[in-house]
Amino acid sequence: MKPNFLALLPCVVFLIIFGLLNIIYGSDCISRENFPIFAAFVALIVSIFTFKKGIPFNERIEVFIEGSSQLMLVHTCYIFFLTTIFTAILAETSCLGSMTNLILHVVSINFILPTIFLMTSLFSYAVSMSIGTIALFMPIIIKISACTGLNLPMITATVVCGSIFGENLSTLANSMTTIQNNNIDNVKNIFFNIKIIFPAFASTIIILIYQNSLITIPTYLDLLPAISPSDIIKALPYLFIFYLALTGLDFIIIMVLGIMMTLIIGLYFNHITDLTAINIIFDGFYHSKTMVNVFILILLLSGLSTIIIHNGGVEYLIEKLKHKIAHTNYNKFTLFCLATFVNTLIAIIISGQFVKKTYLTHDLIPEEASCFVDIKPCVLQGMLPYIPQLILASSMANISFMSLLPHLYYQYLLIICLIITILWTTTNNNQSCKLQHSNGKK
Amino acid sequence: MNTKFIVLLPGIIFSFVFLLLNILYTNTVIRENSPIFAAFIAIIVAIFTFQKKEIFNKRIEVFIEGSSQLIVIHMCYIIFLSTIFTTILECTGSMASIVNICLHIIPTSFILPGMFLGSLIFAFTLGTSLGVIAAFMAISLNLSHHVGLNPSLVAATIVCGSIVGENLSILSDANIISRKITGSSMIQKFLLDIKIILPALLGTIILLTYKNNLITTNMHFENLSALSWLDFIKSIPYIVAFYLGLIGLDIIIVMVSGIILALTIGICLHDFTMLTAINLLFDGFYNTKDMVNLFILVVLLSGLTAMIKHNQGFEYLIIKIKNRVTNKFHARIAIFLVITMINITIAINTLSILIAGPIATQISNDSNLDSSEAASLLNISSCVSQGLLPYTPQLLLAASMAQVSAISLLPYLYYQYFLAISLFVFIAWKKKSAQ
Repeated sequence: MKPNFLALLPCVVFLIIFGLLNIIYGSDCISRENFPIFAAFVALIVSIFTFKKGIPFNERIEVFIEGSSQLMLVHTCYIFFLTTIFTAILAETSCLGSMTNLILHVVSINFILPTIFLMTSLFSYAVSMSIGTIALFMPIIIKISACTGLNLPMITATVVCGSIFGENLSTLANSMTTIQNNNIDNVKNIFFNIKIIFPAFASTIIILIYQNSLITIPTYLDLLPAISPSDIIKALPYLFIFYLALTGLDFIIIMVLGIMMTLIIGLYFNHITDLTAINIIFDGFYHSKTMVNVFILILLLSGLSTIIIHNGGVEYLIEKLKHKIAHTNYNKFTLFCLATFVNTLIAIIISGQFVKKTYLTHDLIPEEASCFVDIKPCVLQGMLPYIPQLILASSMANISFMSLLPHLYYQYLLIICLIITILWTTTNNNQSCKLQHSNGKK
Repeated sequence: MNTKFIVLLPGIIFSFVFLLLNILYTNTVIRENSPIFAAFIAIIVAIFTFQKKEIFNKRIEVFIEGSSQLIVIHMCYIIFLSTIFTTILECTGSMASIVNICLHIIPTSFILPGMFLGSLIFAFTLGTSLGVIAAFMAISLNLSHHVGLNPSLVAATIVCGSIVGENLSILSDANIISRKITGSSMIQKFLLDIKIILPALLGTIILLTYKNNLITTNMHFENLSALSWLDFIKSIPYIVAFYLGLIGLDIIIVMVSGIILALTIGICLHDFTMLTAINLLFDGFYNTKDMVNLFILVVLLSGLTAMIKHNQGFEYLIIKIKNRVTNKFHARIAIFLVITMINITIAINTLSILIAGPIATQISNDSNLDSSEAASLLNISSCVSQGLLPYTPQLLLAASMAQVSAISLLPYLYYQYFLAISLFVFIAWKKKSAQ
């Protein structure tokens, strides 16, 4: 992997085309869901020509295919497939309505936003996958918003924040186990992470409570149907999968069990015929075009990013930044910028992992730095308008993803916390460095 | 080693549920979705056939690993891209132009053999039957509509042609894998392949020509338009794709170049706007529901296969068969049986060869069978069953594009029957000559 600027070109092309399309076809009547795929397609064609000259075309394609056939990726794709089916069946069997009804009865409307935030973060923590959580909770959230008249972009953004916070926490928990092998004081590391995350988390909750209190409660809420026993039975699949998630089973198993359970309940209550039950296993997925779209998009983007990494595009970035900021005290800023750049350019799910790998091999890392690796991707993952999480959430809610941006409180607060921590530890380090120097002189 | 029969159960359940659904519900809606439902059930069953000590998350991992093989994802991309390509060709009217040109060039008495040979050559150069079926079906259906041919017959002809091509092609995954595993030489295997395939091929062509002549008498031409320059311009993407395939580029590159050309021509000739062109890149795939279906099915099936393989389900088969091998004749029969039975359970021939290959090598070593013969037997036997099972991706694809049921293709798969006969004759003749 030799550093190579040309290798980054596909990324730039992707961003430009995506931005351009959104500007040219800006009117609301045009559906924009196909733009990411088109941009990825063009970027892929460009990327084929960024390889070194001697490599035959068939091998270039192989690199692309290899990138698209990573375990984690296919796992994500399956989760898309299954969650979509699950929610489709829930909608078909009217379990979704029952669950919404139940939530609105149990949760006070004054705390609905913080509750959604906590609920999604808990689930996302348990399954350590933000995108699956979004896919799973969005249908219910849309229903709740329709019932209560809550601002849809805000409530959608809350789901995104919550699920990203949860994934963030669970990456921390995971890194706790992996870091043990790396001779880093893991307790210190975890505490350091918590120091950053917690203020962001707490203030998000406060903001959400405040936002919640601003909302005028619609009067027709009193007209909600009373909870019947069948409502509780129908809400079972949701509660069941929540429980399963907490036991640490794989998301795929959880979804399959959820699907089976919902089908049985649906058949029992005669909401669906056996013919529908058979068809919904595929049609449930097919009928939500967004999901098929994101499914393909993820495959294409991961192939693309593999090509970029293969050609040394990321190495180039690292080299560039390393030379620019040689001073050790700025290491954290370097890391910060790097993570930002890498993530901006390769904004897909695997970037987090990749970033982690790069830093560990580049020994820039002081103890705490691993947390930037953990946290940074999460921040941006939640803020770039073209990442799967936001595309998914916004297109499920049928709103523009731009409208989500002002409501992503957690991400903004996290950034602020992160910058404060960097500044604070840098000055601390300076002092300790000076101390060490003076000690050395003595 | 777990050699219980139960491990094979998921494979059997898959084929059983599929057939059952096709018998119980005869309407079209269920026909498309029945393979996926069957695969879903089979996968759930498969999760419980693991050894008890393995934790559930590990079991899922085996499944995911199976689905994320290079070959599988490659196959998925072929499905994705070739669908877009054909949709764009239809939108630009290129399809009509190509059909028009074909009708002018190919004499009507030679349409069926022409389709057969065309798909054969294309598959031979590309080394993939799935992509060829996707690319040729659309045109062939248009053609058959013009001359009033039975769509089932047309679909079956294309399937046959593409499977012969893939079988012979030195580029096809199935061929490469079977050669690699058995360690045989390319030339020897190819010569042997030709020996078995040629009689079947000739038989099929003769039969198709005869069939064609039967139909020609009541063929009618619906206002065949004269050829214009526009027709030639519009058929450029197709011709370029054919050419790129001939020089041995990967089918993904072939398809992408075809798509770019077709889009450019479409925009230049004002067949559609820029916005439509952008949307076609995804909608072209999405609007063909069968393809999305097939895409998912391929991924699911390969995961299922991996689980059966992980549990050593095929060991059961192998041990049953291997114990009876005493001489070369038995060895040939054994290889045929192993690959056929594995293919019946998993329905993707490349994966079957991957699994059956090591066993076939072992069998051939034990009984002093030539390695190229083992490779050839592996490859050809897998092609026979691949073309005859109504739930293989090839048949499902062709059938759904022709909007007929996969089972209705069965009587027209002449080549497969000829090949089976020729294979048996070969084995029997070898036995006789050995005595």
